[in-house]
Amino acid sequence: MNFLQYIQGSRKGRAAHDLELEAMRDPFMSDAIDGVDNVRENHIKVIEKLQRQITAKSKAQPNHLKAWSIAAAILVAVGASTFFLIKNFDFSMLNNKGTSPTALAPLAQAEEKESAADSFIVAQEDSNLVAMKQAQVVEEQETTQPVVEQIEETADQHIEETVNQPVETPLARQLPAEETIVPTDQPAAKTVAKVEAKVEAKLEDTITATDNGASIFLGQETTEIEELPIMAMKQYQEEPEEEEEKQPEPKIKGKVTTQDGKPIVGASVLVAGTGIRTYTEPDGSFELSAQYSNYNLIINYIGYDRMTVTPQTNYLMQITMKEKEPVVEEKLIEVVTEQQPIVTQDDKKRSTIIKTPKPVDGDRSYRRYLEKNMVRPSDECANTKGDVRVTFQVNEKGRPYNIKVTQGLCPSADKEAIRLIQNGPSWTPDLGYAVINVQF
Amino acid sequence: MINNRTTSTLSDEELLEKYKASDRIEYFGELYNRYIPLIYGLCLKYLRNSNKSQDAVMQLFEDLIQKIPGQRINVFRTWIYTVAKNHCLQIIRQENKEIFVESKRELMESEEVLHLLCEEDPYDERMETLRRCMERLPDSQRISIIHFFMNECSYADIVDRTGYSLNAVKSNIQNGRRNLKNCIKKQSR
Repeated sequence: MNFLQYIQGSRKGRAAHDLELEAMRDPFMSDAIDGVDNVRENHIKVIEKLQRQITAKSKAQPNHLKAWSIAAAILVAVGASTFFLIKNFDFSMLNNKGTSPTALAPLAQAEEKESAADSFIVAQEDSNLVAMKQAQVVEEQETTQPVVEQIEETADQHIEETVNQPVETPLARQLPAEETIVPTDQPAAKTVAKVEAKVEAKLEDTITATDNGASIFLGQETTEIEELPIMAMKQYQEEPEEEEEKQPEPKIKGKVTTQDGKPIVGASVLVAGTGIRTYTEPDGSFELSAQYSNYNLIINYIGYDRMTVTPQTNYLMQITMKEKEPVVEEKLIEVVTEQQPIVTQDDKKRSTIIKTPKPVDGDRSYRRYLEKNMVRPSDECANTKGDVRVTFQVNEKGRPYNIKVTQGLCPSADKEAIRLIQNGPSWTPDLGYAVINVQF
Repeated sequence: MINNRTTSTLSDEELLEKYKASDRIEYFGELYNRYIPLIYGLCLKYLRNSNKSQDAVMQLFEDLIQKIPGQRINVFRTWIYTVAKNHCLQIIRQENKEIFVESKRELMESEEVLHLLCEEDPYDERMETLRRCMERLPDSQRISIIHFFMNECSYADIVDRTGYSLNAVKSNIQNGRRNLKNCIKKQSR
């Protein structure tokens, strides 16, 4: 049942209950239910109208889009041609200065080429700046070439990593650049300047390529280039060491999927007896500290059977959840108990009503018992579906007797229903007749 | 243009990716339509007026078409909830109206009680505490809670069985949960 079915239906039965329970954990759903209940209106009609409007709107739009994409294509073309002009210009500049590793400039530019389509104007300015800086720095540092190369390598890796990681916000994107700037007084620091310039160039590339707001950051980063000789050699050296020292902490890891192998996101994974809980990620995975490996894990997800598993730390646990039997509006089994109103105006009446027996462990666990233990008929009744209504009485020990089928379905199904009740959990020893529907 | 059969089986996030990659609004329209019932309900809660809520839903769609390509969205559902809520709050602010919206945060935080009530964790020694606390609840709250959590009745079922009004059932359960939470906290000290 989804929200829409909920608000247009009778809101009765287990499916409705499940949704209401879900809403207790889901503020979105619970707000929506509140909203719908607070305003009187034919909500279904309104929602359908809104959906039609949205569909209409989304179909009307593509023409604009085409126009935009043509415009974008032209921009790209213009950008590319401007770009080559500038490239030539840079070469001549570098040559005039007589520096040897001119190869760097094309390198930085080649990278920028990728993003040029998106931000060619920005790229123009920066490639100039970066190239100039590189040229100067390289001139000064020719003597320490090997070191430079080394660092360049590590730096590249580092950048690659940061660049490849999905970044949440523009702010976060800026961080890697800042992290690397730690003042050192080693002479080698200057030699790294070249790398830094490259770092910045790369970062800028990724920023301009992915983010509209990049121009803001560009401003900041270009000023950083002016203050070049500050650089974190330290960090690049320390990081790998740390990784070697740290043994990966053992963890309980697992993946929760449906029976057809689809990941379940948001399933609750509970460490039994501790109240500690986590939820599965969009890929169905979860992680818990290994300290809980002595407890059981209880996995829960709405619409699926609850599972209890023993945690493993040495491999990835594969947990497959079984879907609950689809509940068609209530009737899985209905314990019809002459419906005595529990607290109402007619309290007086109540005392005269004979109490009917109820499952000792509650309706829910009785229903679970039935689901679990039912043996479907294998004869001609194998494909029948529906309810068998059974009535019975309960003796003082809580055992059913005088079991009768009042509304049969098919001979062997009726027998099975009687068997289930006969062998099932005990009932409260009340005097009335219990009525129960067993669904096949 | 877009095959409806294929889009309707896609997950929210897949649709979002498709929209970002292709810029075709149909994809986002399909995704947004899925959430219209919830978004509209949410707006009703804050704006308390059907027409205003409808306008808000349409306006939000227009805004998001522009906004989404630059956004990094992990789970669309949680994202759209925050965005839609802020959108409504902004409208209220513009109208300079003050409204009272009951905060659900406290209840959402009483996850512990919820877990005790519906997961029947047999290893949990707090179950005993819960039982003691249940006995202390006022009748109406206890009955509503038992019906809801133990017998898996819906609110409407409880109305049928007890004769309470729908709102009474809801607030019984809400207050009951709050009382249980406080009671369990006290007991465990």
